[in-house]
Amino acid sequence: MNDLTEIQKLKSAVKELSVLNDIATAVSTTNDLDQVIELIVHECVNHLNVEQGAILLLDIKENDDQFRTIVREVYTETDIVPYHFGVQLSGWMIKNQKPLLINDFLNDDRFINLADEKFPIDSMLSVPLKTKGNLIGVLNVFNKINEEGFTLDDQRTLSIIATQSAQVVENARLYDEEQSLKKIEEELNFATDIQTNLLPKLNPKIYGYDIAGKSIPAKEVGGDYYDFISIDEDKNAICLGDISGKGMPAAMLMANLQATLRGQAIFTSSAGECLTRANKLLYRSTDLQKFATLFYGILDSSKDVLHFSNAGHDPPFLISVDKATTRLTKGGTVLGFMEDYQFEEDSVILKSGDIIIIYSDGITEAMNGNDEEYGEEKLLTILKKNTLLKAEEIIEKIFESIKLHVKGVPQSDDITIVVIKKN
Amino acid sequence: MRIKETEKNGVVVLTLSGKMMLDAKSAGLHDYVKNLIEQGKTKVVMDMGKITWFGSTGLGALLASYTSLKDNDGDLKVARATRKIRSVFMFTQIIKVLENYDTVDEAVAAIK
Repeated sequence: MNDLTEIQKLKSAVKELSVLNDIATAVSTTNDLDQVIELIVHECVNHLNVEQGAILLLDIKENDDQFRTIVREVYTETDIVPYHFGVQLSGWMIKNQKPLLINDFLNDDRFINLADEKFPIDSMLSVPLKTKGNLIGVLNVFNKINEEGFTLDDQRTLSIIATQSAQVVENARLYDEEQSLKKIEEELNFATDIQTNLLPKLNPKIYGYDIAGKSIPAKEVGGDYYDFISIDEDKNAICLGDISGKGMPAAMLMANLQATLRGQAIFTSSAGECLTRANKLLYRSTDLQKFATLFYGILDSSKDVLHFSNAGHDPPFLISVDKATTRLTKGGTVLGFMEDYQFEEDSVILKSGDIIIIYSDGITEAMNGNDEEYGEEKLLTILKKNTLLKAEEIIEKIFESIKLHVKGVPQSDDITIVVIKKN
Repeated sequence: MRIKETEKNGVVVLTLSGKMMLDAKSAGLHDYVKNLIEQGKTKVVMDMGKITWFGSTGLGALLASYTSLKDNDGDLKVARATRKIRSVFMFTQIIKVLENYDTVDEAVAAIK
């Protein structure tokens, strides 16, 4: 009699080991979450001799429906687990986090109102899936194919399987998440490429002038932009704008603004008129919270004059050879705020050695660890010190000086500069 | 950013404090104002004396609040804007529609 129990114990131990070995071998072939779960459920259904099995995974992101069913292995004609029962079972498991064995649903007071004629489950065994002490899901098997129902040995076996499987499932889930993140990252890279391509690839070559621009977004995509648009032989539009907000929404609005301006620039020779029209179009395509600041200039190189209109943008500096500075303020309010708004314009004559710097507030508001902004004064000092350099070199000097100021504090806003230098 | 609501002579006074920058709370200012409009409260003064940082999101929320209030026959005035905020109001020319007052009482008195 004793020998017989020993033999039975050994037999069941061997069986347990073989299940675990089967699962380990099977799951080592794949990283796919669905496949891993399917394999585990399949082995459980086979070895425990049940009608169906299922793994429910805890969805950390959603609080109301805490479990999502990933896969359900069904070996029966009966219906799948009714939804309401699934919810009750999940709730019980989150609360108790221990194995649940029921062979007699009719007389079980843990789950009431379930044991009617239509209820397709007569016995069940459910064990928690845990990694590092946290519940990540539930492993269930339903309807033991024999009269007696589930035994404590079954519970022990399923618990061991659950312990061994939990980490595998969790790894597969993490891999799954990593893949989704990778996909988002790829899409973001595409967006970055698209945006980089929207910015001018080359600085414009205009006789008598040295012009350069540069923009560094704080995130993968940004809301700052600058553009050079050739209107005719003598006239070139030069603009720099800042869309409220950051990231993807700002980038999309930026693309919209750029297309609008490119469309208007060719038909309108007045800077103020161009902004009046662009404002109307932008107003109609944005919500109330979104707006853009923009400096728009038309450089007439035959007359050495810059006509401009400033839509609420930080006023650019004009620095003459004698280091006197003027700010280009005339224009109007921000774009996208009021539908019918007439933008004004002004013009400046450019003399040899004059420098205009158009910049976004990411420059002057670049913050260091002590919450000190870079500020206009520092910008002007650097500019005045480097007036003899080329436009491109001046921009580099400014970027270097900002880097020195922030002392390693990560860039929080897009930074953009355009420098126009009259030779 | 934090929003504290009080009432003075039938005008809602919103005391704003903290950083008015790119976060959900700053953008939420417009939702807050829309909620006031639904309650029939369309005369609002924003006390900006305790704003420590003012970014473009803050400006967006302010502009949106102004537009929504005006569309509902209401009005918005600003009080105690810091020098930095006033300079933003100045170069964006928003100062022309959104007046700033030195004290909350003056802003409340000026509201129609």
